[in-house]
Amino acid sequence: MDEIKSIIHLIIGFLVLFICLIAGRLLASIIPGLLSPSVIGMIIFFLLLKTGLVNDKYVRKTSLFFVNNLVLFFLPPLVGIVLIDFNSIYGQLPAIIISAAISTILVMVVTGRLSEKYIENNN
Amino acid sequence: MIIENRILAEIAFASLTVLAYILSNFIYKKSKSLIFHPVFTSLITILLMLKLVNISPNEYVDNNKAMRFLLDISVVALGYLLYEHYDLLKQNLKAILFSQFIGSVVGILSVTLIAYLLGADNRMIATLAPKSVTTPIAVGLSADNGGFVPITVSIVILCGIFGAISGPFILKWFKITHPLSKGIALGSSSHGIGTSKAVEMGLKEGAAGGVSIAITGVFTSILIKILSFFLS
Repeated sequence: MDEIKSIIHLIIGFLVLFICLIAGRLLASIIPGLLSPSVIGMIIFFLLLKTGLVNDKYVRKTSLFFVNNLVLFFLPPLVGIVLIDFNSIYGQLPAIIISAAISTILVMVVTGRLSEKYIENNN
Repeated sequence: MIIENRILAEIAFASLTVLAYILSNFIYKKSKSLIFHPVFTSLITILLMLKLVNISPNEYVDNNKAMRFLLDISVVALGYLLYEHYDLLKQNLKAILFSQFIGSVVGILSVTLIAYLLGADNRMIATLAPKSVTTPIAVGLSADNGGFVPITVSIVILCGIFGAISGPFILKWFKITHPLSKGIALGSSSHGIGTSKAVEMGLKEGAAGGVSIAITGVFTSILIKILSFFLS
């Protein structure tokens, strides 16, 4: 019985995510602008959970499955890397690596220090 | 070899992808080293398998619409992280929102400016701009602005790994000691891979990392849209 229940939860969870994505696409086409359809879908999903319109026990399993296996779903676009003409971007490799590395450290330090300051001031 | 039937091709390529992913995860769990991150081993496995049956990678990339759809679904699922850690978000709302907003601004401006100064072209800059956000969101942002999506994916992952490895030292060096700040720093700069490092440090760190993935994703999306509006 428990197995059937968990399969039903997985399916309900998927349907809820699907509906949120469709709603996100609709909203994105009505109000063209700031956010991509899937990010709008994410916000709708959060609001549905927060307002209690969707009970978290039905979506927990499916959501965590997707969150824990993100890598699986972006493998196809990644494979496109072998289709890129590397001769055309070879000269830009130093720019790519240096900018990405420095920026990653900057973001880490800035967000870490700022939040630390805020938390210290509050306590 | 070319598979004529599109639906059959979708099913075959999706199965191939899942198979490569399961295998790579197995290797990663055994090795416990970020060098064997499933993303690289999966990529190599998929390419080898395609070579073996003589299918061009082009064919594979073009016939993976179902996976592309699931990628969008996985972005929606990130909303669950916000819900799960809502209390933490609410109690530290200002600290989290403020630091993430400034972090997103700094992330986009620093990577685009440095890349520009070092001679990257516009297309490469669009490719790099979303480098701090979780891959499924970065894919959309890069594609919208004409970037090289596969390079975006690679750079996002590499930044994640770089952040996760260098993170503990940088946090120490800059005296970032509060559990929430550690999680925020790792999640904002190196998304899911950084957050997995934060999870190792503790529950609070991991939760803050999870919240940061979602919030940084939203802020960066908005900022890149605004930036591309003014630049176009």
